[in-house]
Amino acid sequence: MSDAGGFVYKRSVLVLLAMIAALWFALSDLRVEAWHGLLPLFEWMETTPFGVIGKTWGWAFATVEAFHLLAMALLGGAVLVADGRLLGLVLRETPARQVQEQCHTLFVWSLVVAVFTGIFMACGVASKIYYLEVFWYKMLALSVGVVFAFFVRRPLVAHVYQVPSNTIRLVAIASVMIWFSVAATGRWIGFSG
Amino acid sequence: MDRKKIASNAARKDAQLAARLASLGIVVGFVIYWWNELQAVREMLELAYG
Amino acid sequence: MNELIHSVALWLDTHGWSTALHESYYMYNWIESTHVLTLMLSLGMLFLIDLRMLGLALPNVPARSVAQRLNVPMLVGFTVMIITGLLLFYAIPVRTSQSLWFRIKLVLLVCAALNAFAFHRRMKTAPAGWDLARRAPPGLRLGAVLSLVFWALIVLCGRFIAYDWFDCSGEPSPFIATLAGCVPGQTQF
Repeated sequence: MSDAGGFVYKRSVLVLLAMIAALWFALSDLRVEAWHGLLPLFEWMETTPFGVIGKTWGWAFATVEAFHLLAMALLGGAVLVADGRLLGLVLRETPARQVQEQCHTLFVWSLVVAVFTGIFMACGVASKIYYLEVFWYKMLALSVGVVFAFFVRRPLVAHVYQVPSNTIRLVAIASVMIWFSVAATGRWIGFSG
Repeated sequence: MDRKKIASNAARKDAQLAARLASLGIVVGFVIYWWNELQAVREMLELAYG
Repeated sequence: MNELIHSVALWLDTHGWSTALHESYYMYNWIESTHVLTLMLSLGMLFLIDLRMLGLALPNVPARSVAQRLNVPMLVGFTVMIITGLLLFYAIPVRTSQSLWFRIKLVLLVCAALNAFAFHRRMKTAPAGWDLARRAPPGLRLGAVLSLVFWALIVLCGRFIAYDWFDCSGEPSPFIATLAGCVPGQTQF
């Protein structure tokens, strides 16, 4: 609350509400209901052209998966360099602000490619992944990662020179953790079911 | 001057608090999830090899 | 030559560790996951360096400093890739040594290594001040594009190894069988 225009802790309250909502969703029956409700979507996904192609031609699925992995590599590179810079591990002689801005562009592009190739792959194996717990953990991690990257991390690094270094380090570590989890749970989808 | 500066300061403080909350949430979630995964693997191995 | 490779692979296959690794669900999958996830470190850094040369990443940071600073994490990544890759080969030596895709992947790896070597030589001889420009000189840009293409194909071949389209056990055409190194009359696959 300040004279600069109403209530100021908007972002923090939204983050807190989102966390409470996520917890409540996870612990209530709503989660199971939502899961049942999504079955028609996954059944439909297998009948789309993506689903048919992915199921019929193994090489098409594998090729798209290779691009998914390449996008993952670039996304990982962008995240590791951006967060590594915040932790003071790489590109120390380059202004932090500059590294963040330029890595963000790469991050967005690789995320777009990864999501599109991911949707294609999901269509091909929709009836399998629907029943895999690890797939839903990946979707959870991905949603958290996207919200965190755009709604929390990016607004913070806009003030990177004024923010206490402990907070910056915590954010960098959380960012690496969440994107590692997205990739690692994704890898485990291949081993399950 | 100071309306702008105050607004920017407020935005920074808000971003900081949001970042602390979200990051802590992620770190805690990360530790719980991967700890559970490791435990599950350990139990499987114990079942398999005694 | 193919007979020799096959007999070496058969010999590796007799090792207890090789069988144990192959049959251990968790150990094998962990090594495989580490191999794939380390792409983020090795190829992630490499892609950033290559894209910098093309003016598509970190355009305001001197190209030489990008190449030098990201080199260390990249090499750490590639070291992990090599170790886990060797372990994966060791776990399934016979089938992998006769995989067409694995053989193409090895050739591409050699190409990528030669390209990286040439790239570093060109970087040393480039005229002073080149690395402040948004895009690197043509020679380095060519090296960067080749690197991107080689590594994209390497990942693709790596992914294809898992499929059995051209396995020797499936009796492929004579041409493919020669390339894949199938040994006539072999009984172990």
